Amino acid sequence: MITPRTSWISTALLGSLAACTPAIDLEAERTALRATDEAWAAAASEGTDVELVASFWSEDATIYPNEAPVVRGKEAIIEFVRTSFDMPGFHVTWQPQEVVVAGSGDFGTTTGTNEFTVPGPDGALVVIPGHYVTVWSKNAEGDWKCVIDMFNSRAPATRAETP
Amino acid sequence: MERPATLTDADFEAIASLRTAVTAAILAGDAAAYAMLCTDDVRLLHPGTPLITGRAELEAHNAAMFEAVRVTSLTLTPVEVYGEGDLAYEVGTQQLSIEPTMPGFSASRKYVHVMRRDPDGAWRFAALISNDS
Repeated sequence: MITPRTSWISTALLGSLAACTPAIDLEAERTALRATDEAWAAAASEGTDVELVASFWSEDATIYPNEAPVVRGKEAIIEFVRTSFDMPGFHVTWQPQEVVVAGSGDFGTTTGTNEFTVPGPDGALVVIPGHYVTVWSKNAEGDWKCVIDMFNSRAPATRAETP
Repeated sequence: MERPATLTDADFEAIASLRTAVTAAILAGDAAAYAMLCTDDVRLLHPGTPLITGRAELEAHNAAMFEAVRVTSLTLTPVEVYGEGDLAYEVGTQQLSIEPTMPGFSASRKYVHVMRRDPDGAWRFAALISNDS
């Protein structure tokens, strides 16, 4: 039976437990999320390690590519990355510009610009500048993982400069 | 998704109302009404367009677009809505038609809308991106 006294004790206990809960440092979380997106971009720009690049998406992530079908789940994502890296001359790079983290500290978004180099219709390489939005969630290990990924083209493709 | 939802029924209703309101603003060609549904620092990341940042820039961009074309039909169909606290996103598909039609225009698109709850308690668009299906 909860008496006023035990109720008071419970309230005090809950209050002290709440006081023990570490405050979420949102600035630190924003910095960590930006660093994760930048590390991902660096790995993707290398264009060699499919597993590493795919590891930045969650197991249940969904990619919404431009002018292409939706890619759902890790297995399909690995194949998507492998196919991209196998394209002659393929290169991708991106730069996060804005990072937002919810008050929970484990859910956030990044937006930024990207640039794809891919073979054009005639086989010659073209550069396609674009925008992207990614939605992130922390997994059980506390690592930021991308759960939603959409990108598009913000300007017409231009012929890539040959080295 | 396996993440626990933290949005309330009121949040989902507010986000649905936001979708309805932006559809009405676009169909009416009302750039000011559209802008009022966005955060001060909104980012518009539309295809074929440079980054548009901030409510004023977005209103000017949309006003120019509405001068050039009229959106005659628009349907936003949400596929997923999720959020935690003051941040949410909606993924969906959109069907639209415009007059006059433009070269390369795609009537069928996918979209992601990021929404933030402003200090006044209202949910507003913080980032909008779409691409061709």
